[in-house]
Amino acid sequence: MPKHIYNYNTHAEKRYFLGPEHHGLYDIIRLNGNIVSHTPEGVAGFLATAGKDFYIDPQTHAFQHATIHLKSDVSDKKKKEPPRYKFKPSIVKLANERLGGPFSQVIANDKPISPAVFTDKGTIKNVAINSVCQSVKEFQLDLIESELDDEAKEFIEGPSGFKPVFVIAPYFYLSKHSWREWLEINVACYQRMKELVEDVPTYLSLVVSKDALDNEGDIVSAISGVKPDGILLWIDSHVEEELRRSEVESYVHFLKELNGNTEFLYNSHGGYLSILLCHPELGGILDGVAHSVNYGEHRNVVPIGGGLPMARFYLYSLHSRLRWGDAADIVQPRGWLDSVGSYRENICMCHQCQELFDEKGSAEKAFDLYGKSNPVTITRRDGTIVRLEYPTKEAKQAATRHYLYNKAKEFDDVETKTYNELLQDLDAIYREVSENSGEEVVSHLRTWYEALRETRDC
Amino acid sequence: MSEKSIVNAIVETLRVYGFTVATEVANFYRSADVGALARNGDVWVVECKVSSIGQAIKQAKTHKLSADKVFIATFYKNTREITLRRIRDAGLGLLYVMPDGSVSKPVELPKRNMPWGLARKRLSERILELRENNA
Repeated sequence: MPKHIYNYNTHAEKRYFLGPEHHGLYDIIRLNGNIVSHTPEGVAGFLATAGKDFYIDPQTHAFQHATIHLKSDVSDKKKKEPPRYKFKPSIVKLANERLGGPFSQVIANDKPISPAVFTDKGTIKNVAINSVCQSVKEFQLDLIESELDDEAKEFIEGPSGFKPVFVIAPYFYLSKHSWREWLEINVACYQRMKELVEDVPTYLSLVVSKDALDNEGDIVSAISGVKPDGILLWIDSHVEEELRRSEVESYVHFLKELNGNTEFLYNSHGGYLSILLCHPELGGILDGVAHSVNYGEHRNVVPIGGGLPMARFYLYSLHSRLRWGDAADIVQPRGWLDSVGSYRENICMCHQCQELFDEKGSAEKAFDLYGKSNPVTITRRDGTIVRLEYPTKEAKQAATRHYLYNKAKEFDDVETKTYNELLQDLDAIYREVSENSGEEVVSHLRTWYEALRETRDC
Repeated sequence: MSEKSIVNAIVETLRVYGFTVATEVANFYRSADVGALARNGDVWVVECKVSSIGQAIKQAKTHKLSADKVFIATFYKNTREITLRRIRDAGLGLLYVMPDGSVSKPVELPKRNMPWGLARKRLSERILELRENNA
């Protein structure tokens, strides 16, 4: 069964992880190192309530990028001060109090980590590797448990106690130009981490630029030398809806190659394309997919965190988070809002939508709530006036719950429908929508259909 | 020649014809350059562009959900036939702002859309609200 993973990025998202209505929608929680470091007691309490498997992403790659990405502007905008950047407190805490060593040097010297920290004339510095592995291991295995008092530990027992289901070795981004050096370091870190950690599996986090994938063979070859317990894959800015057919095929090929060298392969930021690739008939090319709550199906490596996007409406048949207007442009002219029956048949039958039918009394009023907004007028410096809309709190919450129910359905469908049925669904909705509304919002369905059909035949 | 001068010419013209007009009207998380209410209650939206008519067509399509008629307005020029066809096929109208500031229509007025009632009502209210705030 493919694992459905939720990324937990801020405590404001807690509500979507807890409670009987949400608990059954996902399998594993991925915590970002930043939040664990900054508020370990809050995270411990959250995990205790959630009672789910979890793992902690130590985010070591954050320290190899230009340090501006680790800072925020602290200038007083009311006083019109010029921008003044300081390291974010959570990053300082992660570096200085949790990870130490070369990570705290990034803060002290205001310079990113370079491969030279771990290598000397092409030779791995074992002392440096060992040091970071020790601190990264302790951060993941000990911090949360240490925040719970004995009484709490007695009462609370998660599926794996308070240990993560696996630990992640220190890792760095494989960029276009220096991927080879970082790959060697990542592999060395994995090997040492594996030696240090005995009671839980060790996973390798593979964060890679699309350009570095041109060297897929070398990357796979290096990984095949260590056969990690599991791999977490994150391809920078990998927007599944925007991939060309050849890119989908390359992605599938890469997954197959990786899969042959590990027990578990998860995509850290994926959408429906990746979920489809978890289909049992494909032999489990992927074993799980992670996303955030109504965002995060793709992610850029920098900036590090921040920037929650606006609420969008997840249209199941398109497997895409659409601007609400684009979604309306598809569902309204087709009469899908004419009755609750038509809405349920063509758009969605999740609990969130049902609640809105009951509350609002009609399908179109239910759908309309997802687009509710507060217009805001902004006058630019040049005097031009711009009017923007921000979704209401009610709309954002409804859109998030609707999204999560639909994601759970996608995972269910992969287990209950045949691969061919799911492919045919892609083709059918592409034909139906493109005929009257153009290809713009559905072309990805055709691309996936053609690429995956071929893939299966290979 | 700026987009603002196109907007101004359209606003003036619509007012002469008795429309209640507002600019930069929030609609479907997009901003309609000009929103107008006719005396008979019809709702019009005009997207104003100096260039990038293709982009305007894309933006204007969403407004069709809430407006009875949607137009693209630009400065007078020799628009290619293929572009005119795209505008017509999208069910949109085209308005030219002439060098003297008058407005002409190089293609026939678009047919009345069948907008979504809820969205049309909201857009009407926003146009009226903006007019009141600016009055």
